[in-house]
Amino acid sequence: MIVIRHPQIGAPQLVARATGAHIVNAGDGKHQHPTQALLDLYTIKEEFGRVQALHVAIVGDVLHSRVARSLIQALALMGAHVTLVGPPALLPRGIESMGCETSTDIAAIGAADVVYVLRMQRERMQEGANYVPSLREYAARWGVTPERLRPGQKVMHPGPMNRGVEIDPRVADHADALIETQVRAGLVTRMAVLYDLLVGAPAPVRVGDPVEVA
Amino acid sequence: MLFGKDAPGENLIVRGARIVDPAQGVDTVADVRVDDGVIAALGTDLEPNSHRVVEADGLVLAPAFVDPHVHLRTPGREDEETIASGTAAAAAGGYCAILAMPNTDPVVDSAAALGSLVERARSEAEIPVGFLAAITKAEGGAELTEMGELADLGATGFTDDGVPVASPGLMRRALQYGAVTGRRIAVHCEETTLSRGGQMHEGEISAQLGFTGYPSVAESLMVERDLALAAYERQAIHLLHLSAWESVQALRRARQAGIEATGEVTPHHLCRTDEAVRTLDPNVKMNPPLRSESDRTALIEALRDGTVTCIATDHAPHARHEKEVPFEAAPFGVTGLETSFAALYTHLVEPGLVPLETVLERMSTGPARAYGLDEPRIAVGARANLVLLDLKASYRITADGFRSRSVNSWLLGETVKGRVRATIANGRLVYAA
Ligand SMILES: [Zn+2]
Ligand SMILES: [Zn+2]
Repeated sequence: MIVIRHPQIGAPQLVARATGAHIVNAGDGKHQHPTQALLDLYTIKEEFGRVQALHVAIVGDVLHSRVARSLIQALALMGAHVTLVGPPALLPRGIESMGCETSTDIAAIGAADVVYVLRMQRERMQEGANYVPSLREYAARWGVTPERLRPGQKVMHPGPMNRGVEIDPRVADHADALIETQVRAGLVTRMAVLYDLLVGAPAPVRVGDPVEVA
Repeated sequence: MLFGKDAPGENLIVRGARIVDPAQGVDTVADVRVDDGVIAALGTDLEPNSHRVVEADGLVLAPAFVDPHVHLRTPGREDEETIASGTAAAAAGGYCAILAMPNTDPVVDSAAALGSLVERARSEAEIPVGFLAAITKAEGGAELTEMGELADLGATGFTDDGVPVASPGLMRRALQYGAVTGRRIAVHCEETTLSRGGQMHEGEISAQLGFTGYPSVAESLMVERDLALAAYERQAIHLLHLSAWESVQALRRARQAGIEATGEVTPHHLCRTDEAVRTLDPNVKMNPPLRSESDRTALIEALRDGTVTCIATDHAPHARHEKEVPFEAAPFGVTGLETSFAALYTHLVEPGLVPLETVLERMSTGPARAYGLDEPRIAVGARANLVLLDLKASYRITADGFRSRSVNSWLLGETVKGRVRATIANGRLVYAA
């Protein structure tokens, strides 16, 4: 078994073509991060007892986010309703084809059961690309603050957080945040993935996109 | 001007083929006799004399193909292609002439660089080859090359292919001065501030895969600019590898308005869409990228209605190790010389999307006319430039089947129909299978 995290899209697929070993994609570029999606589903299921028919708003830099792409796909498969919210240039053109809605208005998070906040990936913001004028303006318009949430809305984040940019510290540390649960879920779901592949791998289940490896 | 080995024409007779020469409206079964490289007789039951006989029962004989867009990688990357290997590949693809692009290392931007290529072509080219020279020095987009001298030495035309001429002011100067040379200016249309970092067509699939998109408008905006400049200067222009429907729309309007503009499309853009990128196979990565089904449909329509008069392979060989990397790390470009007819026959002619005659015409007469080359034709007195095609043969494209030094074909592993059985270029039988 080989676990691969790689900055370029398709690296795990390239390796999979060259070996008979199990390949676990631990994140390839902006493409996919499948175990993150699994742990997020697990977290939501633990909290709500179901994923079906829940409304999840994913907020922020979808363009550069492999987490978002895996999560949108996973939530769509499980029958959740997904709305992407963020600045226009960070919502990739055509993303609705994955089975979600988009909005550039942060008020769109109001109706969601879960607000999933993406990391504002500064290191991926190309020099002079001007996706947004500044992080300051981003935080003011799309930052997830207590004022923009309803009581009882659950908040998730894949970490590490930029407190004060995409997420207000008061939100991150509030009892409605499931962020620590996600971290614990990460351990058990990844153990499960490794266990299944090494010990009693069940017959592979085809879930849509054929390029997915793990 | 084309350059090749100085060898005498051969005595040949091609017997019993269905002769299809769309430009002349010919479609008939007959023999063709070639004396000293020149078509001497057409008819039934011609005497073979002592001519070499090519049996062609059940095959189609057409004017050989002309590829207006090939990267021969020489000088600089002879490990990927040479004049000898590239022209051998072209012969196997049914071509009697190809035009090489100047974005080599060093760039073909001087009399010395062009002169050495001409010399090499004379000693090693299996079929005649023409060379386009750069518009700007080192394709740097800053200073015009000495286009007059380059034209005198035999440059077929001028292009900075690989990159656009970014500055509109310089593009205007190139069109103005290009007119003095009488050679066509060809442009790679890409607005790089829109395409930068782009890995594939921007659309649903790039969104799903996470690739940075290379939007259609990055091409069509530059097409519109260059057509506007050509119209203003009343100069001819050739648009390389069009991939987007907006681009062919613009070309259609320009031609209707009387601008002397020609355009080319590639087999890969005519046969494949961005769906292919889901495989993450670096052999479907090229610039411009494979676009959507509606773009593909528009290119096919433009080919049919004559908006686009040329099919060009944009044959771009790359070393194996450079393509055996993740998609994002791979260079742009795919090979195409040896598979173009089969690809088009399989994906366009057989499904009834484009008539055979149109494909044959756009692969031969169209490109020759765009660059002012002799048009291959099947008529008594014409130099013999002929391709013999087997429309029934189906076979699998494999990496070991190429004469090119590179194997980065977008068709690897696919079973196709339509095989080149023989190529006669400049009066010589250069390929037979
Ligand atoms: Zn180009
Ligand atoms: Zn090219």
